[in-house]
Amino acid sequence: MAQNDLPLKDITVCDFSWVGAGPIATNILGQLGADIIKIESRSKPEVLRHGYPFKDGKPGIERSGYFANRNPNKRSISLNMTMPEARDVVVRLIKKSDIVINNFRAGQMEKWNLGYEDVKKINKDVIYVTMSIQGDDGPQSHSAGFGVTLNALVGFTYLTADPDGEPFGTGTSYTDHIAVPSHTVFGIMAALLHRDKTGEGQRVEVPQAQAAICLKPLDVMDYAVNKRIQQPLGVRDPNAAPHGVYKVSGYKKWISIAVFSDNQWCTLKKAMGNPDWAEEDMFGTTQGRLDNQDLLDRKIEEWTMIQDGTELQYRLMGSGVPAGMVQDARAMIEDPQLAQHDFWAYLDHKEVGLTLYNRVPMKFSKTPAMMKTAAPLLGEHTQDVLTDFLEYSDAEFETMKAKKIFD
Amino acid sequence: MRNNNDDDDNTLSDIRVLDLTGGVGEYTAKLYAHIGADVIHVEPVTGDPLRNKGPFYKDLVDENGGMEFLYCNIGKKSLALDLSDGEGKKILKKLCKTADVLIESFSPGHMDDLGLGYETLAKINPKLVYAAITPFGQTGPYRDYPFSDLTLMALGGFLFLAGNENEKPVRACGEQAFQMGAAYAAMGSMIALYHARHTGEGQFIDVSMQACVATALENAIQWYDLQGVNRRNVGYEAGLGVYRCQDGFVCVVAAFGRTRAMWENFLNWIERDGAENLDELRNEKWFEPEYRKTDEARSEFKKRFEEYSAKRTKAHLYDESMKNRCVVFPVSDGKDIFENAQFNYRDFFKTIHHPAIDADVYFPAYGFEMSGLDVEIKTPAPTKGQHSFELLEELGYTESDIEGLLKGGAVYGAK
Repeated sequence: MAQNDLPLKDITVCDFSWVGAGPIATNILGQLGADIIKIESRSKPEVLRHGYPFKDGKPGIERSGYFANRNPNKRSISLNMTMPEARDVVVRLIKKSDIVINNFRAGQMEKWNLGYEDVKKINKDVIYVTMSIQGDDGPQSHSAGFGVTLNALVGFTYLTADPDGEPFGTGTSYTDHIAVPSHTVFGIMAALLHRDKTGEGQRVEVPQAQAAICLKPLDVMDYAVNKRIQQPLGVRDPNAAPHGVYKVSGYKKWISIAVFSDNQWCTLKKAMGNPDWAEEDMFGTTQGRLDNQDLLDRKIEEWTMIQDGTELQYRLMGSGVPAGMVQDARAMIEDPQLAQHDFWAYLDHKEVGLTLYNRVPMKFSKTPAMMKTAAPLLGEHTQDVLTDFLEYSDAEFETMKAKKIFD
Repeated sequence: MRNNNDDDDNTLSDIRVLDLTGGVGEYTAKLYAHIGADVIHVEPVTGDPLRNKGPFYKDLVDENGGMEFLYCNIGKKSLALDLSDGEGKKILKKLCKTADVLIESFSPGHMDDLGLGYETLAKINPKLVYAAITPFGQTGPYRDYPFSDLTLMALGGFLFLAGNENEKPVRACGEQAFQMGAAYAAMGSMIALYHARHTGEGQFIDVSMQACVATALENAIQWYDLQGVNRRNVGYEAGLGVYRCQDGFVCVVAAFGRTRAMWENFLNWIERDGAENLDELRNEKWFEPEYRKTDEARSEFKKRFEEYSAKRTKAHLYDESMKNRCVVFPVSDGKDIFENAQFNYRDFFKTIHHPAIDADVYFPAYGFEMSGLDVEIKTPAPTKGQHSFELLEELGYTESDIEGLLKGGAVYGAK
């Protein structure tokens, strides 16, 4: 499969997005062939270029793995948007773009006269994507926020917790990774199909909070109708027991086990050597196991805690009980199933050398996603994009450079 | 009339999607319904298993009242079909000729065993985009292993991150491993559909939920690759994270790296709003992230801030922090989301009447909005086999053919 056969080979993205959900969305488009031109600024580098981890722990704007993993296969141009000439470059780029995307706070693009109404005048067929935290209008549309606060606002933090503890959350800015980019990419693709038919561009608005709630609708639905405020369950499940995370041999090593049927329970009992306690009547049905979960979990952990977790995982999975080690990053990199799918990719970065990226988790039989280049250096492609793609002359480029347009 | 929304102007109503998912991945085709595509949920004659999953509408157990089923199937049609039956297979093949996209979440190889695998269907319709959502993908050593949302979250590396230091982790609410599979199947099938429309070439898309989960590890893989660290929860730091208030909890971001202005601005605001004894927090050492991560710093900040926040509500802290350019968000439960002023201002929540349970189904309406597409979903989740009859008629079956299929058990439905 040559690069020029990928589904999005003819699509150019003028990418103002930074930090989280925006770059993650354009990363997916890029792996399927779109030309992503990331607009950065040397005088105000994108926040994640300053974010840990750094190669060998040494900070530097070209050394962040946090930034790199979501920005492979992209071209970076550096523009100082406070200079009028920088906007001229953007205008030229927008004329050649199919998609213009940003995830700024509502109103930022308008300050540069690059709101949808302005951009439509530059290129009326363009698909203009906004991804503000809470949408472009409304009483809280201008609130600043971070991934962690967005996850709190939409309910992930409250319900992802131990029943007896405080709200916890997923330990990540989860909504940035799946809910927001997926609705963004889906909306963009729908808009491209619409443009194919009608020749018309449009605006796609992705309010991040709404996209997040769409992937966890039940707490608000349950309250609206049943007036029930759903409560956190830790790692438990209302329909299954045992359903938990159990210590195995080693530090920070746990195995997850989930039993959804009496059959699976019998298989688990057998794996445990059919101990007497497991034959008690109270454990004979799912309801009984749910009602006696504290005792059940304690008994199971007494059995797991002295075992090798990986060996136990294979024994349980092989006999038909859903089980899996709580894998840390190292175990993930060594995971045989992901390796078989070629999920990880080492890309050679100009400053930090071979470093690890993940591919999209989809195998396309005819147009497999491609990893071409590591994350770009800041402004690495400014000259290429301007003189080649945007057809500025070398003299024009040098003049702009002297005027510090690219800082 | 193929369009489920009776809206002939909608340009995307000519996309037909066959949704063969059951329990896992039902959100994928819902996204297609949202853009006005013609989505047919092909469910077993015994009904989609998701119909039996709670919570239920008004807590009444009913095959049309399961909330997740109601939510994921808004705007879809139902064709109840026995795919193990020869006639059922024929119907599916005929339907595939008319379809653009097929989504399924059976075990790997199940459709092949039925004689309905991708290779067979691609011969009938080479443009068909076929997306399969499975726990571990179509190949590899784990392919046939049993799974659950919890074990996929564990094996996908996500669960490990949801815990501090050596504490056990907690599971994300809402079966997110399944949702991640659905989300990627939606993206992948859409991109492949675009390709098919441009080239005439359909294809198979293998979506592994374990791999989907592994895309959501933030920077954990890079922490290990670049610095040899197995990170867990972020924000185990004073001034970051969850604190108690009068009516629940709030999520605070008062510090970021060595940014001095943010910390000072935060302290100034809560002091103006009545916080006391903040002098200690103004000490130079608080600008050091390493200090803020110590137990001493975390408990000191918690004590000082909660003395103040204990007498203020989530709503007060949210509103006032916004006005003062600080970041304090409510830790929302279902009721808070229901009452949220912003969501309600934006008409994010809608209702749709469902005659079979005689109720107005309440649901979050959309995760994205398109200015050029005017689609309003007007039909609630279908009853089992609600559209079997009309779909079979469209495929050219006569009334007596259909009666025979219903009697023979290959199809369930009512005229």
